[in-house]
Amino acid sequence: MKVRVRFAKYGSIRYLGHLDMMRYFQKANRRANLPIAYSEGFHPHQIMSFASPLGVGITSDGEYMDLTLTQEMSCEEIRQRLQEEMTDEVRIVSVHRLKDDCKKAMAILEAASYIVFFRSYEGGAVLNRDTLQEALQTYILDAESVVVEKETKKSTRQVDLKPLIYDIKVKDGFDVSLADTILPDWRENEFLLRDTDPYFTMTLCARSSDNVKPQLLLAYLMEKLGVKEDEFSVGIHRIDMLAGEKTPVSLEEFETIS
Amino acid sequence: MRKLALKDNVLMQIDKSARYIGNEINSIMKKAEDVDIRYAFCFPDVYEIGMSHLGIQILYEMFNRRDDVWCERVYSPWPDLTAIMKEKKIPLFTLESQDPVKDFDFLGITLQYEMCYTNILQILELSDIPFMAKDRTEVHPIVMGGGPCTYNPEPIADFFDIFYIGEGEMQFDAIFDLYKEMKHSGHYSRREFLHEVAKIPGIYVPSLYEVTYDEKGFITKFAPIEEDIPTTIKRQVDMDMDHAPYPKKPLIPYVRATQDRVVLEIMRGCIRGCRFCQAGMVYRPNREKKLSTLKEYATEMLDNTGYEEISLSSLSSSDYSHLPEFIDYLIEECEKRHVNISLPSLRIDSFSLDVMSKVQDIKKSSLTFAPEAGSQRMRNVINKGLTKDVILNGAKQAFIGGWNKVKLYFMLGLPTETEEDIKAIPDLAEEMAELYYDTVPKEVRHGRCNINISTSFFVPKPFTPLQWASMLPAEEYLKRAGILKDHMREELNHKSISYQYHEAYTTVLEGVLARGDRKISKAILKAYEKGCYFDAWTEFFDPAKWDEAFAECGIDPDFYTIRERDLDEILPWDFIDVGITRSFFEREWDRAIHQQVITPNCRQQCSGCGCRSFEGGVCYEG
Repeated sequence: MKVRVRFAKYGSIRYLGHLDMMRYFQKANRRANLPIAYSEGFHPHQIMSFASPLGVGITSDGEYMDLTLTQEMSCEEIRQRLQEEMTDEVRIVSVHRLKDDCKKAMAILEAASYIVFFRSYEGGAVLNRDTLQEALQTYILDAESVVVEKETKKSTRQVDLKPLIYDIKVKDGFDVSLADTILPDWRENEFLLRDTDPYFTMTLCARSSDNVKPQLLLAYLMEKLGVKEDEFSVGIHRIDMLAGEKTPVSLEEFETIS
Repeated sequence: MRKLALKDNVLMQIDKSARYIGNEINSIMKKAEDVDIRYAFCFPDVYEIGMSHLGIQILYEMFNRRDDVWCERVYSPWPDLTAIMKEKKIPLFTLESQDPVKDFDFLGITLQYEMCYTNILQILELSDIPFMAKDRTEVHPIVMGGGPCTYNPEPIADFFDIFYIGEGEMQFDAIFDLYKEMKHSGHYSRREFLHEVAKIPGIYVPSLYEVTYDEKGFITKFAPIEEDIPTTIKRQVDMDMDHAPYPKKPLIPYVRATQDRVVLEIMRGCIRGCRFCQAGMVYRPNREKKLSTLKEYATEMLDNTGYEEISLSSLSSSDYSHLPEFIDYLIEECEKRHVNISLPSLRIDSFSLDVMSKVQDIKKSSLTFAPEAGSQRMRNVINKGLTKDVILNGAKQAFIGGWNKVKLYFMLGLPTETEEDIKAIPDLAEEMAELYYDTVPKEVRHGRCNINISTSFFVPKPFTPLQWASMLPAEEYLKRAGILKDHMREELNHKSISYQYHEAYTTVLEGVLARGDRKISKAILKAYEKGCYFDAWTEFFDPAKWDEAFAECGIDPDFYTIRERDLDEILPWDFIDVGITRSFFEREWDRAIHQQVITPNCRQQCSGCGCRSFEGGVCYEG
């Protein structure tokens, strides 16, 4: 059977890179004694795939890992067994069964939603909601195109982010229900999450060919505002990942059967 | 939410920040206020190396079994973080609590290789602990050293309050009990504690001993400065391997460590008695774990960690009495679990070839032989019992079995070495290549065979029969590597042979640090002040700075390297009693240099090294 595991990651474990996170789960799956399917050969690997790598330093409530199991097992049991093997900074949010012929999460991924906020430090720019709102309106929402230089492994190319931005808003008054678990961590590190502090919520394209990182968009906006690179620093929290072309839904609900 | 010592902005600008966050699976968290003793255990190298060290894992488990002790870990911050910590004055912290090391009761540093000595100073500086033991006060942790380098602790004696000589399993309870009792009774002072702890077997407190030298720099006297302090320090040995503490729930690093697998120690000590090998001497007597113990540990550790690979740890693993049975068990158990077996280097024979063909891809794997010397005469000198016939016979079986890659390990610069001995190395490789082409018919071959020669330069170590031997200047090492290379090119099948050799300057420095005396410590400090650290990493090693440091301190490195020592010279490490008699070492030195004969291994015949006094192990088999 195939299952999709949704997990949340916060606190110090956000400094783990994607490959280390995969290795963390490979060991946890074994400790949880899940009947994982393996590849053939002298060095068999677990058949597992992640929807999208999460950058170092980012917290998340919506990470996904697809697993193939060789035996039937209830989703709740899988969730419980995995949760028992987690550190206190990883929470197994849910486990859903997938249709046997479903595509990998990575292949169907359409978008990801984020919260982006600022950090205060010496020499940092003071940003308020009104200036950010105005800049957002002028340089992104009302602009015909949002062209940035995107670095690939081989070269840099120009990309228009405009069609890849599905939703973006400036807000203030941090909504605790969005991410209550991440607050103490980010506050400890001087990120501005008080009632009056501005922050962004955004849903951006996350297709593997056109993935947009929130920091890229922020850098664009700050440059337009005349804020230099060393005058701002952002904290990022991924809320969820979405699939489906017309009206994307959470990966948790996409083609899952129970 | 865990509090981290480093802020987000620091963690985001350094490489592999997950090295510094702690909270790994199976790490142990306690409350500082619930314990009497806080112990910071340090491996003075980068996290990935330090986390691969079995010794710390054993002692971490053992210390933390005590409710009154919390043992935490600390590793050398990489240079990127080191620079930030110095600039922002962030004190070095342990991974578990993220608290400053300077607030701990003890800082224990394991000393696995000489090239980490400058990293000790990095740890002390970042912790804000004075470099010199004599400058520390009541507010500083007691700085302890342990591990293989303590068999000559003198070059770093000034930096340590205490050295622990021998296996850690034995005396830590006594040390902790003493410390706790003195603290509770109100009689504790640093001075008083060091004086008392020096009476515990295996404990060496350098500040309580005085060394005097003659005008040429030779030691004339080494003695305790107080009457109730022991004159010799006896190596501590755990004779009950089956009940020795062992981490059944080892720490699992998030970042991929060098040893990213379950490591199972199958025995301690070695029966072989190779005359260059310090480990083969100072871990005597050979002590095996029971087969039933190993089976239990293997399954439990795989269950507790979820590792996808297991490896066996020991010296000369082929000598473990129940190896075939244990490997059969592992193969069966690991296949069920989809776990890989990483084999230790085994003697190449039909048994090991059979095992290797089961657990490795023959086309990708290579055979390893460690003849250590090219000629039989030279192998007699170092007591490496392997003969050319045995090597070639093993290779032949392997070639028939489908292997075509071979690694050969040798040492250059051994005592009495001649040009002939050096040329015998590529000659052996040539014979092996010819054997391949004679044995394997053309139609079955997958291209050429691949014989890889690798040499390191010999460094004499304390407590080996070759401890009196002279080393060579760096240029001479390189010249000898050149002779090997030139001769290799003349071989008929030179296209099937390749050659790599180690860095020569590192060897010379290692030689000075391995057999140096207390005078060396000021040069180590000087080198550190000039910016030397991570010397074990070729990208950071800077021999010119070391040369300057020695010169400025008035130390002639050649005094420690290019000189055969007389048997009546007082060696800096003579005050340590490793359990092997001086007369055994002298006998073996004579058999090496003059008689050039092999000494039988411990199972063939006891050579009377003195380790029967430990009353167990191979000495009492059968």
